[in-house]
Amino acid sequence: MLLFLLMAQVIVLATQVRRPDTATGESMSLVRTWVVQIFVPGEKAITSIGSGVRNLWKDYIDLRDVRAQNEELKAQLDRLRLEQVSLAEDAGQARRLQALLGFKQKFIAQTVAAQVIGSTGTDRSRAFTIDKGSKDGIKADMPVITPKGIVGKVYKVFSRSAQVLEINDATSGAGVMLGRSRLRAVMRGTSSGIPEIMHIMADEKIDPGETVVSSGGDQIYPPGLPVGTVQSTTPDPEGGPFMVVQVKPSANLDKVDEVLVITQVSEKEPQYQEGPHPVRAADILAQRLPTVTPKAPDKTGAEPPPTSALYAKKTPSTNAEGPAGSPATKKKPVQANPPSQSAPISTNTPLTQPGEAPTEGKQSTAPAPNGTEAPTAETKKPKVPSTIEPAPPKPPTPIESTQPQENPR
Amino acid sequence: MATITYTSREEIEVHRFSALATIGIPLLAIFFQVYVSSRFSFLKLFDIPLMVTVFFAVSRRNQLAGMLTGCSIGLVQDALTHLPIGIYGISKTIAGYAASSIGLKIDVDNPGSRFLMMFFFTFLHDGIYFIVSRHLLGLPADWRMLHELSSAVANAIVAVPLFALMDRAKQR
Repeated sequence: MLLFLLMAQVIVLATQVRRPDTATGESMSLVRTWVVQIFVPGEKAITSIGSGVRNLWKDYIDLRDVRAQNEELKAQLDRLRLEQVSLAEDAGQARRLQALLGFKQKFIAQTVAAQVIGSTGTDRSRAFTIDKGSKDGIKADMPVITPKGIVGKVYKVFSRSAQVLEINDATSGAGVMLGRSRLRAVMRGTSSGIPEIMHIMADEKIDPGETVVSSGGDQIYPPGLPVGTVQSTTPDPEGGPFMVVQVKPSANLDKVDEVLVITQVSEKEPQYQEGPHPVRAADILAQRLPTVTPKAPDKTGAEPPPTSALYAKKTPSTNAEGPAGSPATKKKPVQANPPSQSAPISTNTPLTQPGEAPTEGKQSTAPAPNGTEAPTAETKKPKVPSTIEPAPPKPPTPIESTQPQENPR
Repeated sequence: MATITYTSREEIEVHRFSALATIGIPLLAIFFQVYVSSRFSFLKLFDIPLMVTVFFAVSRRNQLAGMLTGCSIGLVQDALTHLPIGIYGISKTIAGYAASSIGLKIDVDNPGSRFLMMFFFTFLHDGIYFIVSRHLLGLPADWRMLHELSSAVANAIVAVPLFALMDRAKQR
């Protein structure tokens, strides 16, 4: 009886005493720390031995059917390359639109690969232990993913191990968004291990198989990571106006061997950059030569000056300021261009980000709809490469000046 | 002086265990539970530490020993979960106490009685766990009857050969 009383007191003390973790700053139950420190070394040792044996078998012994598999993978690679081309087009378009709208994306900047070395051993606590801890830069609430989708978040951090709470645990939750309907909601785990999305109105149309991605609203999981697919929808068991959407997780949570812990997420605006385009010599010359725009009806009713007269005004400044001619036009814009007439060109500028030289270079030489040059675009003309000879300072003939304009770009 | 019958029976059938078995078997059971079930998730249906608790309790036929064994194993299991420490502790303490009490009354060496005993104690253990977690702590827990029944049957089936294996560690 004395032993019982003493042990009970020790246990009560141990559960109440909390030892602060210097790495995470969180307090940790003493009993929990003791037990983890007892079990983790054994789990690590057995895991590493098992991995060694598995790798030995996989890398040296079990090499049957490798040749056939290699051929199959090559064929698959060819197919994927074709798919990549079309996907790259879509991605480029998406980036352009995101840049246009000023979206801020969250990028996974840094991850730490970790191996699962143990679990809780029960369905009542859906969590597992990984072999990386605070000494590896792991902190609480860091998201844990696999290439297939999100797995959970770091719940408790020890010095050389950490406990990860799976997304299907009954005490777990995540902000999600439905792929097709773009509905944002909260997904929570259940006792049965099938996560459910709550508080979605019953009249919403959600089909099984619809993808579910993270919304980023929980401030833990970066947005856009795959979470799972809709498994089924059922009416609210409490008879409310909502329905319950059951989700099948993308990652196989019953068999997780290796995971990635996202240790750093950076937030930045997407920058659209044009891919490498073939630049023709005619385009480069067109950027450098003084241009004459085709005749267009003037809204003011004034007759546009003759071509030769326009060049007669521009050539002196070009000769005086430099070979490219752009500084001259910047300082002395052509008087025949009222600001109101250059407005239509400026509507294109939000489509591109500052610093996108190739695109702007093209725009700078493009004729304005009203038949005049745009001074704003002209000032952004990129510096001409030194290998290109400067334009001749003599006044061009109408044929010479219009040739670049007639070339399609 | 008349002899006390149940004491006489206890003198015949009470078993002791070496210190190595007393500490090693429960630790091995917990280690097996947390490590192997991470590779084979269906093993989470079983509760090997509960089987060990019941085995030690019925073999020693001492309620205090049964309680302490259950308490210790339960607290270690609690520490490995993300839930508050004490839920498994309370459940296994009561299971250990009940097992040691029953061990005084019935023949616990028979495979049939071991099967029924394990079925009953799994059900009892899970019921106490549910009550403590749901009603005492307010955790989101559901009572899934089919799951609990299948778990009880699975534990009872596995317990019969496991008890026979652990019988080798007994010392008279």
